[in-house]
Amino acid sequence: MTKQDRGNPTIVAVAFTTLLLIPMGCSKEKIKQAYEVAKSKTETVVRDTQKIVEEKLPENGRMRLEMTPLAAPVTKLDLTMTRMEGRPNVIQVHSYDIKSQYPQQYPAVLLQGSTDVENPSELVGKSVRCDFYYQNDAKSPITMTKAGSSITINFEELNQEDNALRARLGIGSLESSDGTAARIGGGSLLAVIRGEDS
Amino acid sequence: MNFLKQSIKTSRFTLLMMLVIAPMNQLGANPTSKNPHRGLAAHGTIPEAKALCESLYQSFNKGQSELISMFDRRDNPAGFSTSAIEQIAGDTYVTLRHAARLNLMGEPASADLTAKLQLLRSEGSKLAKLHIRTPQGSKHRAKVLLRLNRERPKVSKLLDRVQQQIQRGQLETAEKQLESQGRELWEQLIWFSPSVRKKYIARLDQLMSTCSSALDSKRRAAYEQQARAEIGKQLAVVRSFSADAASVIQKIGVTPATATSQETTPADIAPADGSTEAGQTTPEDATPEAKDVPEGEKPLTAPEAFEQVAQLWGRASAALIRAKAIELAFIDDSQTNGQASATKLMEQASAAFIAVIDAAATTTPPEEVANVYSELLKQISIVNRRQRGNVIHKACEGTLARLASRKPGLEEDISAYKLVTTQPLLWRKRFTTQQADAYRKDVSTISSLMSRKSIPVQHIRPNYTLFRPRESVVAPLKFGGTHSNWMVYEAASRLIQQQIVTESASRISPSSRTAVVPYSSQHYCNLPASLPNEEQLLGLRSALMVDDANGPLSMKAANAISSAELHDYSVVVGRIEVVHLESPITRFIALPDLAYVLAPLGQLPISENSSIKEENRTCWRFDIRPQWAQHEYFTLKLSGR
Repeated sequence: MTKQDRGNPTIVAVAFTTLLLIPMGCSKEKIKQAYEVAKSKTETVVRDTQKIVEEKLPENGRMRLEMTPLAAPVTKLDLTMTRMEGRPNVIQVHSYDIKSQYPQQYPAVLLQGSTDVENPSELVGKSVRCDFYYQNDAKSPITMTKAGSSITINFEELNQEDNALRARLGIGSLESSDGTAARIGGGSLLAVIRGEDS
Repeated sequence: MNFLKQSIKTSRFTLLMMLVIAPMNQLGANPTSKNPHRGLAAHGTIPEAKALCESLYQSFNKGQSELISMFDRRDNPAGFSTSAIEQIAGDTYVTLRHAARLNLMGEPASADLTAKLQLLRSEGSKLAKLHIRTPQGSKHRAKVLLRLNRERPKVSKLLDRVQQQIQRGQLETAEKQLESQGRELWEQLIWFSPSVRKKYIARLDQLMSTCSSALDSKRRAAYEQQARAEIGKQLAVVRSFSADAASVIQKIGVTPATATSQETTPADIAPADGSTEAGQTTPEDATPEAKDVPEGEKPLTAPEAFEQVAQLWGRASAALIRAKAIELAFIDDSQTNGQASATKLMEQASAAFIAVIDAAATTTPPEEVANVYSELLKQISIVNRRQRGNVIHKACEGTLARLASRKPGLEEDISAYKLVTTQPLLWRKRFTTQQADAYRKDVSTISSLMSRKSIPVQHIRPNYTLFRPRESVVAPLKFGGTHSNWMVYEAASRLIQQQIVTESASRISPSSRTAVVPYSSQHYCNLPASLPNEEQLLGLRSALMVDDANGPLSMKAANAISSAELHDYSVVVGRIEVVHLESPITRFIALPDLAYVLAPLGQLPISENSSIKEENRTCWRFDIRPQWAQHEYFTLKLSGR
């Protein structure tokens, strides 16, 4: 994940080194040489640092919803599978810590459904019908699947490096707590598989 | 003159209405907006009170019809029927005395009747006054005076005899003769001024007063004794709870949990049979291992036994409420603490429920444990709602955990189940709360509508009251300000079709078509129980992974499912269709066992210490047509309503 909105780190670092040399009374040429050396070294350091950061930054998951009313993009998404004897296994795709009473960050989303699959990795190529719950912020109306309807998650791919599942959402009828018409016309998600609580 | 014409016009209309609406057979079942002319019902703790109450309302209605008819012709008082006026005077002399007897019998209808009869007598007197100003009336009065004087020595002799009877203690005989003579005298004295009346009736009044004070205390004592016997019968039901519960627990055997029945009624619950004597067995004595179910009897599953114990608790609670209501009607200085008894009963019920689950924890085969556990959670959730708290669940937690531990892995499954059901329930609850807040925000509560002041839209006050509607409280909390019939009609004129929001409704029984909103602030509501919620129930079952083979494994989920199945709603918005007016004393003395839901289990609906005497309080019942209902996890909008 790259972040381009913080300015060019190379220019910032080189300018800083050059500023340090000026008060030392060096000639223009020396300053220029020093600038070039500093520039090349700084570029290397920044490049290496960026590489390390990019490699180590964990995947948070995300979800994009084509929904009426408009939904904000979800920038954190986990998938938890729970097993019980005598009942289908349950998958929960959630944007917040499901062990807490209320979502800690918004938009908050939960998709929950049952499956016969034993492990999350085996979901690839499968579809799971889910109940859907969404809230844009703590005070906004809640949108959820209408009684008797569901949203299908079609799991497409397992990203083994990130231990995350990529999936597409089907269409479905929703209802909003303020009575306005709501609908989901599809969407995509990447959910990180979390520890299997059971 | 215009006013008089208007008044006559109105009164003719009123009379017509009275004749159409008030057939004599509509007595004794409490006035309602549909039948506003009914009298207040008698509870009949003293059995003869019912017939007496009915006959007094009949007598009043008869006298009032005469009064209305004469009042219509008040511009021609010469044409009044002297015999009708005399009969009103004579009858009210006796009926007022009998209304006082009804008071001794603990009947709240007494106050309503007394107010009505007094008004009837005074209005009769007014008509008599109008009549004697006419030549015909003056002639009639002269005739009556002659008769009074002619009969005076005879009356005097009779009173001498009566005095001797009183001295000999023959009070009932004396009273009968005095009543009969009093009626006769009043029929004649109605034509005279109070000072003349006094001259002729003073001695009779004095003898009657001596006779009455002796008889009243004798009767009060006798009625109180009868009431105490009735209280004793009710308290025996309360006391037998533990033994009855123990005998149910002894019937627990090993049968599949799926065989639980929803159709059991209290009539099916046999009291302790010969093998268990009432008062000797406690739930703790019930051996959890007991499987020696009496021959020929089907063993009970633990959930079935739990349901039966809950019904026994309901029955005992209803009995306790009846006992307390009888006590309030008859005994001035109450010695018993009803609330303490209700709390004790709740403790006994807790012990019995624990014993049921203990039995299940000992006898249930591991493969049945999950089902039995689920069914028990559902039963506990129903009792929790009837109790309006969590006392029973808290009490049962330990033994429920023991039951769960019989099946390896179930405790882990319960944790997993809670994990996957908590979030859907939280989302659904928040969704429902948002919907409900928006829907009900402009709807009034019944209490607020009841206490509002406004001008009655319509009234049924007869012509002789010359009533001009003015601002008044919609549903007064006390009898006595105005007659019960007028009160119910005027309240209804301002309440029918009003939209209101109620607190939580409880279905009377799983098979009942009626749910009630419990009694509080002197009112309760009845509404149809079965609202179409199949789609919502299915959604909930699916979200909570409940199917025919797998039940809920958490209390929250069990409560969600059982309340949706039973149609217990936390809030209902609807329109008022019928208004009923009762006395709380009568309501609770006549409380059927199943109607224990009118008060939260473990609590008494009637206050033991309050500023308004209980017999003077009103109890309003509203029949509601639901338009919208809120379950904890969904709302229902009922179309076409």
